[in-house]
Amino acid sequence: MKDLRIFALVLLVVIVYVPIVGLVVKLAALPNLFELIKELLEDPSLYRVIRFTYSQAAISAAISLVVGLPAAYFFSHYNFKGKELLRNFTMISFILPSILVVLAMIVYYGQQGLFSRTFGIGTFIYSYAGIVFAHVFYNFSLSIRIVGGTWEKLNERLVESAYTLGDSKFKAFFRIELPLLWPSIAYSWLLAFLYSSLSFAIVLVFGGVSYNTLEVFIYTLTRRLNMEKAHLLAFLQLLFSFFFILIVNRFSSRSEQTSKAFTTSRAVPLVYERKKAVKILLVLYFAVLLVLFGGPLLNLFWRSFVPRGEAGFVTLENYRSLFGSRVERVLGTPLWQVFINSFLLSGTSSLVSVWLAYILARHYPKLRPWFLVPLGVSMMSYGFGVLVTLKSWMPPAILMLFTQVFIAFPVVYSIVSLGVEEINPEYREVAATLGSTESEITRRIYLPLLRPALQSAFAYGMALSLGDLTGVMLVGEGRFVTFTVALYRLIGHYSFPEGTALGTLVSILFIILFVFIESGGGKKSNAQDR
Amino acid sequence: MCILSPFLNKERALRFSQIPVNKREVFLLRKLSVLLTGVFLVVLVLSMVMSAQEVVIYTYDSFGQTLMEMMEQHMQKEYGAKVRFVLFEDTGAMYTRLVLEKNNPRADLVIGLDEVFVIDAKKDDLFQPYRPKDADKIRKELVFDEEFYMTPYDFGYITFNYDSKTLPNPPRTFADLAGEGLGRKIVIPNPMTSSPGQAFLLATIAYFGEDGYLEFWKELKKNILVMPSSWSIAYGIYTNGEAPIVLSYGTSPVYHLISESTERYQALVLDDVAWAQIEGAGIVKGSKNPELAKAALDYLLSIPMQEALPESQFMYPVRVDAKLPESFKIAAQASEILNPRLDLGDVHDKLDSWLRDWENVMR
Repeated sequence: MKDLRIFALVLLVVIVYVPIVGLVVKLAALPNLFELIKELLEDPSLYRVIRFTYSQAAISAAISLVVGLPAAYFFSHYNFKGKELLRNFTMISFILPSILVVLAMIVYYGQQGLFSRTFGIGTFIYSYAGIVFAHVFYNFSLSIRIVGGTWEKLNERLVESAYTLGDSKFKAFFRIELPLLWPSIAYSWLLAFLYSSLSFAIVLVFGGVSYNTLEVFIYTLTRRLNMEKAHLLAFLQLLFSFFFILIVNRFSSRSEQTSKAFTTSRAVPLVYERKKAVKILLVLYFAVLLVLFGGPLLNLFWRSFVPRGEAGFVTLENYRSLFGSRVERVLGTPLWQVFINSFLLSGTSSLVSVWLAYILARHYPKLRPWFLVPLGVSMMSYGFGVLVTLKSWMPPAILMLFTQVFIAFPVVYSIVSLGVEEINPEYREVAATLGSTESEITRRIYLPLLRPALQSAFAYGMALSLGDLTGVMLVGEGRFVTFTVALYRLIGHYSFPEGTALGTLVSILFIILFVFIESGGGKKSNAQDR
Repeated sequence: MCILSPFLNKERALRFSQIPVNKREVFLLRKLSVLLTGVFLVVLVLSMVMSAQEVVIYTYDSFGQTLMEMMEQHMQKEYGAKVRFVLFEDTGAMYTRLVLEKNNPRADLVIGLDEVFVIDAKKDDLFQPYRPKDADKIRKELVFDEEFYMTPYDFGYITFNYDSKTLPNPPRTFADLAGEGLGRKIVIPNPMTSSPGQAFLLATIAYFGEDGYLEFWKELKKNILVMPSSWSIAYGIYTNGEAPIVLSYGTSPVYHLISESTERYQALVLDDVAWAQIEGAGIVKGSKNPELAKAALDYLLSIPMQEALPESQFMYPVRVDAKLPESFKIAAQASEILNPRLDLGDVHDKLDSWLRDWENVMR
């Protein structure tokens, strides 16, 4: 099995580091490198941009966390109808390309938006607050999944013994639960932080010219064909991201001892809570969440059933048009093919990512920060790295998979590696003493215990890959049409209503798929509890 | 790994079973890597063999399928040549690729670079000059490169559009647009990140002069609702009813007429002048099939292609003798194209500082 883990490590290095090194080598070879650096550092707007990029990201990530934590608590402690549906619905923002998310926000919160008009308040989204709000909308689901997953496995007896010793619920939370949840909290903050720092469309739409992120700065340079400076800045951005990854990793590594605080599955099974107060709180919280964050998406889905953006009766006109011959002419590919391409590519690449993440998390726990590096590199810079290194000799199918793994891997890895950490090492040791082989340990202990984490990771991996445009275009060259390519092509040909219909269909398919996967998994683990 | 065993024949299965259990996976992994290397080599050789007989055309993703098919059929019928279209996310990505592949170009023909790129393209030495057969038929004011390193093939007026249902009395002049009392009703794609946005910035510089354009933007600022990163988002905001005025193309209403049969959305040519976004094509220097590339460029300027362009790209043909479809009656034309008022060399040299000054005013 040693071969396999080395194979996995080499594969990751090829996918992630070869292109990045390519980028760096190209930079280092520039004859005027030092002048460029000097020019860049002397630009006063750079400091403003850096400050804004990371301050808004920090705030956005913190608020995402605060918004998501109650949901993480409810999802991990209570059972209620529609739980899987809700949990997967919160992930939709990761699937939808930014253009649809932005439009969803505007038709809901804009000056003519449904929310603004219903409640008779003005619009707030064209401001700093709007940027932060949009980022929270994007990222709050991360903490539900990641923190919720850890919370679910936390040994209730620890908390209960704290109660017996006289701690209040509040005190027990801070003394027992928080320290144990801390790594998961830190990592969901980190993920939200880095995603917000790479934001582009949202910042420009809601912030106007007043606010620029590094990503906007880099893109502007690229458009002005100032490629060297753009790559240099991309590298600077990578250094910044890595710095933050290192800090978070430093303050959130878990000792082997704490792993023992987690149980195989819940010691106290999930309950349908009878207490009235909790019930009311739960309903209230999810109602607010649904109105604030579900609203824009539901409104967008609803609009796909309304003829061409005009008020009127519900029709399937947009869907009929979507499956019609005009759209096929625009796309150059039949629609069924688009669905197959999208789900096949995202499914395969997410599966590969989960597999890689599992092996690397098990065998190379110390290398964690290095595995998170893709989070600090935008697809634009990564794409350039791929062009100068892999593109000319890799078969396109493999390369396509690589770009998607690059996108999916960091989140998948974060979820899986946190899950691996939460497995009591004694199980492995006991099994090994009893003569189990490595693959038996994997099959009998790790996979069953990791099942929820693997499912979450797989879902995120697929969602992220479904929403990718740059990687697919880079390798597919326009002939391989996925959902996101199709969506941009439709919108480029003015077909917004059909685009909305397509976005709705893919979201619904995604939710159905994962509710199916997870409810199947849920039944099994419940059976184990009894 | 046991999934693989049925694929092995009996004899092999027997041999496989003799391998110690703990070594089997390694064995299979080795087999797999040999297999993958083999497949990889075959693909590599095939792709090398195939590439020799193809005309490779680079263009951006929204280039119409109809046009691509016409081109493919034409090249197949007349020259027995295959055409491979390589589509890019946007023109920036396409240009970057051309520069990267300069010493060993893969493309033969490039379709879809704005005229603004021409100076850079000449500096970067990307194209070879070719005066197409029908060059004389191109409208004179559109020929932005007399040496024909790049040849214009279509153009569109960059104009505002308005929703006549919610805005019955739209502004008609630049002064109206920046005037009091309009309110935050305008959406303009950001000039820093989008081509139409940049074209409008150039229009204001051409119209008001280098000294006057910032004054205009200062006045305009109060009426702008948002400046999104791309035309797509801007147009989405407009058609979803959030703002009644958007910077788009003079031909945008044609789409609504064709597929929604409505004349609700109208184009707006301020002071009867507009900047034209002129798109060009060029033959790549070092192309492996220059003759075929020239034939393809000739075809791009032929009557069938030029007359198919409007309803596929929502752009105007460059030929004076190409007929426009009926639907284009709703499209707006300007009586003066602003482009010649600015020197392209100036645009190339000063655009960065114009953008910076503009950014400072708008912040």
